[in-house]
Amino acid sequence: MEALLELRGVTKRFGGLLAVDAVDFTVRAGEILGLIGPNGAGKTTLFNLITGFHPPTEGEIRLRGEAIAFPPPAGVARLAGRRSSLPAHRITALGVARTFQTIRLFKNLTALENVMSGLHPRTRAGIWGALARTPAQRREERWIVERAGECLARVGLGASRDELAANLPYGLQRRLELARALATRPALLALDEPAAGLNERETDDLVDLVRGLRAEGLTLLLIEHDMRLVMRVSDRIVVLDHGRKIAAGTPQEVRRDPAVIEAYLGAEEEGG
Amino acid sequence: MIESAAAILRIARRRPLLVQAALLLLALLLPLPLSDYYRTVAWRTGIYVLLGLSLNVVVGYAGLFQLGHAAFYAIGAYTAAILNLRCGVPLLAALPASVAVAGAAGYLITRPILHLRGDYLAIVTIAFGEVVRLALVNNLFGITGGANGLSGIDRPSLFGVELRAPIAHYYLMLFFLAVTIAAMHRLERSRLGRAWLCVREDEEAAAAMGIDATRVKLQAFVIGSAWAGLAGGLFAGKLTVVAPDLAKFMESVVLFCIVVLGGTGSIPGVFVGACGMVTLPELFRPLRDWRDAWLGITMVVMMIARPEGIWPSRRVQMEIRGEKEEARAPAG
Repeated sequence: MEALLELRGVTKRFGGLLAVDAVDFTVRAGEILGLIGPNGAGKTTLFNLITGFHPPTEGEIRLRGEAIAFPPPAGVARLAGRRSSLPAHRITALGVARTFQTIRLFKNLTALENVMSGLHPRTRAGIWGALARTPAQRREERWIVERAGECLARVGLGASRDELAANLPYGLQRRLELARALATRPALLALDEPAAGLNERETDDLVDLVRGLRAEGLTLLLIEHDMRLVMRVSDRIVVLDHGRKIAAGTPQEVRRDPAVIEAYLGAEEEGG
Repeated sequence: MIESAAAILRIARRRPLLVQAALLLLALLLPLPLSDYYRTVAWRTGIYVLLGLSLNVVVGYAGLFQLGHAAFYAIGAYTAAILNLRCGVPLLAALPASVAVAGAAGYLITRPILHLRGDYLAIVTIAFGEVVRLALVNNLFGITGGANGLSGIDRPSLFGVELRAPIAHYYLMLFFLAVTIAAMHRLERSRLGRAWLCVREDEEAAAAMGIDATRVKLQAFVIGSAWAGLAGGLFAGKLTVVAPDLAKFMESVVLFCIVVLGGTGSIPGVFVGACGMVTLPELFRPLRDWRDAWLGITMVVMMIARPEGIWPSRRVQMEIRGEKEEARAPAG
């Protein structure tokens, strides 16, 4: 299978803390890759590196062969403040969408308006289009509303389109975040603990949704604490511990891996 | 009484075109029964509404603190004045240059400081405003006339008729004001307008949606500055004198108050703010020395009683009310 996203020797230091330590892995097109690890293993940091929220300290990340994070610039470029990655909005435009661990919707916008924001990188109208209200701009606005409506319907939020995001119940807010990410028309959808705070039924719905999206050709990267969920939906799993990759493979392989068992249970044994 | 008012409001909501036409008619008829003095007051109020609307793009829509906005007003006025005095360009023909130069200055000044947030941005914009004022006082390039400014600017003329009477300037201002309101209305409801809202609400989430926060903020600053330049050009044509005082800090503060007290992000709010900050002190001239006190007291009272402004936009009201409720709610 073709590699959609490749990480090579990706490292992130925050001062003296080594949060991510020379991690390599590949996300293949069309798969669901689970990223797991104990608390503080560096999962969310790695997520932020992939989506351009932090530039890596070292290493390289490629999306469809194109570098989105690269070894840090040296000399003049460094002094001029060049980052070692593309900015987040460019990476979104290239086809990586994300959700957040703690929901970050635009609370005072309606559900529809939230999703409309996701269509920003897929549309073009600028200042002149808005001021002159050209036919092209009006056509684009109609398309945005229509397309946002479709994305809402896709996650089953069609009935709440004019509801303020802040007024939606928690489970629906999670879905809305997903719809908003889908609106950017990603190739890779990165979900940061999408099942956090959901009850069993909502989690089941989420599994169906994730599988459905994959069937439509989307690739998914999933950070999840809920082991049962990860084991159920992932094609492959990468395990992080203390910032390092300690295992990778199918759910069955990972479950039997001694290093993984050690990482998850080791602390308890030492403590006992 | 209350019922009939509510009924009128209901009709107004259903027929926005009717309301707009009525307001325009009112604005057209307003100066007719007034004396020249009050016509000038109306003109001044209109100019401040124009300035308030331009600042509203920056403060209201994009949520950025700009406490040096008067600098761009002054740049627009000086551009028109210099072009007119040095190159003999008719004033109305110089207006596009006022807009362009103020917009370009907005770009150059704000480009390096865009990554600053909140109060830091406010401090830097105050400093830039002062820089512009001092540059004008120090006779920059020998063309700004120093502390006395420039005088003897031609009045604008339209179809060969010189606009001299206050009422003519009032209608000139009204024309540009109508254009501005239409433009702001369109910006609010555009892709760019939504991007501003998103950046104001949550910059990181906006970046995750592919919105280039730096770019849309810069666009807000440039549009706001350019529009202030237009107001500056109109000012130069009416008074025929420009002075560095146009860029003084107090002027920027008044503009900021117009936007914030009237209702951040709201077009009618800017009207309310301009009436409170400009018209009222002008009408009660004997109390003019108390203007700063009036400003201070209103600020304090408003911030306690109604932080979202007198006539806020629906969204800003929700934002501010929501934050208050969150702050009141017990932790966890």
